[in-house]
Amino acid sequence: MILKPSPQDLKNIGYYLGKIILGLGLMMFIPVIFGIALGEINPALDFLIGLEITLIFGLVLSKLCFTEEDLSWMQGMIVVSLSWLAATLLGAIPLYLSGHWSSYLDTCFDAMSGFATTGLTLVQDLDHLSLTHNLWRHLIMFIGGQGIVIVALSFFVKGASGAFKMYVGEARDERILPNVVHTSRFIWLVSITYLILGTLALGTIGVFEGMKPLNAFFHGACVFMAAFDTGGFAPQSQNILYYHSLPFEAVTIVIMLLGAINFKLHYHIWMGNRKEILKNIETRALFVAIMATFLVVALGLNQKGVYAGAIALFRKGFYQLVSGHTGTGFMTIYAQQFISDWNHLALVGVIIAMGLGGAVCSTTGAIKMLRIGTVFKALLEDIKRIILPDKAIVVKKMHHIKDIFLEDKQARAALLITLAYLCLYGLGALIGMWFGYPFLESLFESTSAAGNVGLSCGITAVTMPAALKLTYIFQMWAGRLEFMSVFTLIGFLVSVFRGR
Amino acid sequence: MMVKKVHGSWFIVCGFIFLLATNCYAQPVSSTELISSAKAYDGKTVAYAGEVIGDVMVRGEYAWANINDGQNAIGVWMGKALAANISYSGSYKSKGDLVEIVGVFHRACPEHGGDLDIHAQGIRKMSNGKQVTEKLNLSKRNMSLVLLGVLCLVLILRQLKQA
Amino acid sequence: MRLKDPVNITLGIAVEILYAFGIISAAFLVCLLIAWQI
Repeated sequence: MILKPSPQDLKNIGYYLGKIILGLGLMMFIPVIFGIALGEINPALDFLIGLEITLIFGLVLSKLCFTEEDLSWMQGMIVVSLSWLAATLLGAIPLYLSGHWSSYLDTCFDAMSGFATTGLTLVQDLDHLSLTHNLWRHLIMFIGGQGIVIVALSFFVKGASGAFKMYVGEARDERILPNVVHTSRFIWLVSITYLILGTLALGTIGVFEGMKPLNAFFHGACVFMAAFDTGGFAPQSQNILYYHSLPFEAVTIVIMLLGAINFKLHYHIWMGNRKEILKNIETRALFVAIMATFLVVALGLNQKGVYAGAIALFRKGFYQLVSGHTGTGFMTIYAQQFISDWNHLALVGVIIAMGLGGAVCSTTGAIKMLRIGTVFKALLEDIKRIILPDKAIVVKKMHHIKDIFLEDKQARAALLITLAYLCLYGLGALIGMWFGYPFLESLFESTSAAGNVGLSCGITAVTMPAALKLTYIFQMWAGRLEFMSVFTLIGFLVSVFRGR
Repeated sequence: MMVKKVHGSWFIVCGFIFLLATNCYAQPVSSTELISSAKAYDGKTVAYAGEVIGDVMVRGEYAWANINDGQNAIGVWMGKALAANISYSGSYKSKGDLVEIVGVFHRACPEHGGDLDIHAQGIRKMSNGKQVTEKLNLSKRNMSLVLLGVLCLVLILRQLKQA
Repeated sequence: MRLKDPVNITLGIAVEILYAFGIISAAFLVCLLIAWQI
């Protein structure tokens, strides 16, 4: 028997949603100040309008639904899924006002793509977009990568258990520190530290490569945010190809890989347990998976013969592969070149890489390494059980910060999530094919959306059918939140109509 | 008389052929065409036209200029001297020079790590770029003021409700 | 939260960057091997 939601449910949800929307609104101050400082007045106005609308919504909602109660699991999950929708709709407003998107739907596509650190984009004339708007595009990747709710948790929400439920709902189920607020602050520490280092590195390289200093460091900061948060937006229409620079590309690869590491692992390594980077199941799995998928890509590209020599193979083949595997989506080739310069074998290598992803509790998307590692270990355990004598006891361990016994419960959870992602990839592929796109390309783009990657083979375009845009938006959202909060929302809506 | 006329015609014909051979500013190819038919154009001399965008990045004796023809931007590698012709590049606050370049197209340039690029041999400026001064959008300003009013109202109502 | 140990943090950052370089080096090796048709 499904029960209709109670007024208290709605109040709790509304109150916390309002607070998070407030947090989002305050974030919009950054581009306003930036725009005024740079003398980009109209863009500053765009963000002022967006800020005002968002704050009004947040203030009204949190006032109307004021409550001192703590959140239940269901309510927490719904706050998260609704927050992401709210952030998409509200975060899109200043972008839409710039006139660089063909429709509000397109802007929402880019907003969701930004927050979900995907990187697929429908922006028009990016090379003439104001620095203010460009800053926001990258800032939302920075915010979304940490977690919109995490951002709010760092500053707003005091309640302990409600906070944790939202933290989990946003696909961060690794307890780094006993206190969730401390955990989110640590995540910020890592991000800001690397932001400083990364911006300096990229900016310096930019200057040496001939960019004007101000541009070099602006680009450095933006590209860092998109790289570390494995997002994939870049300030210019050619994405990373704009820079024509091997050192620049190399630094972005390092940053992408850093972003693909579990924040819990960052914590333990930064606390002194440096050996963990070699022993950890995720770092090992990532290494193996990158090498394996790259081998497939390299063999395919070698067959096709377009890239002559090791350097080209590295700067085109490996770059796209590592960009896909870490879920970033930076490109040093044009989208159409995936079809014209890559063969099916190489493309399949990238698709698999995109589908696998980086570590859990990182800024990456897709299935993620802990589950892949768990599934493989479980498979090995089952094979051992069959090979060894019946009386032998097989106990499988895996090392993730500490040694963990692999139990059926974990294997089951890992397999279920893996299955859910595979279904999402397939669903998007089917819908793409329904609209007439070829199979491999549909699968490519669908995996890119659902795995929050951002590599595109050309399907993502203004001319794409609106229903496909909505499909990808849904995939980016569901993929980023790892299904639970999205399913909970759907269940909640069902109960509104069908509950007693 | 006849001989002089023949010589004259020859000059004209030779001059014409010379002009045709060197002045390869034929119809520019679009970026979309270059990218989608990259195999066919690989290694060939092409004409490409568009707006210079972003920084012109000087590297030693050469420079990169990314040129956007409205569909895509393509990287053009040119000598420092050619690059010196460029005065404005496109961004939010400026319209870049519209240029036409002639050069060798590469599908995956071996010199530049597989980049799709054009190595320019000649550049011709079609029009100068300029700084674009922003004009305050009045309707946006008005909307922001109205919303500011609403926001203040909401804040005041909240305070009142609390009291 | 005792995050006051800058030495450990610096070494930690170094180790992580080394890990990234390890992956890059291995990948480049693969590129060389394939380019030389080994």
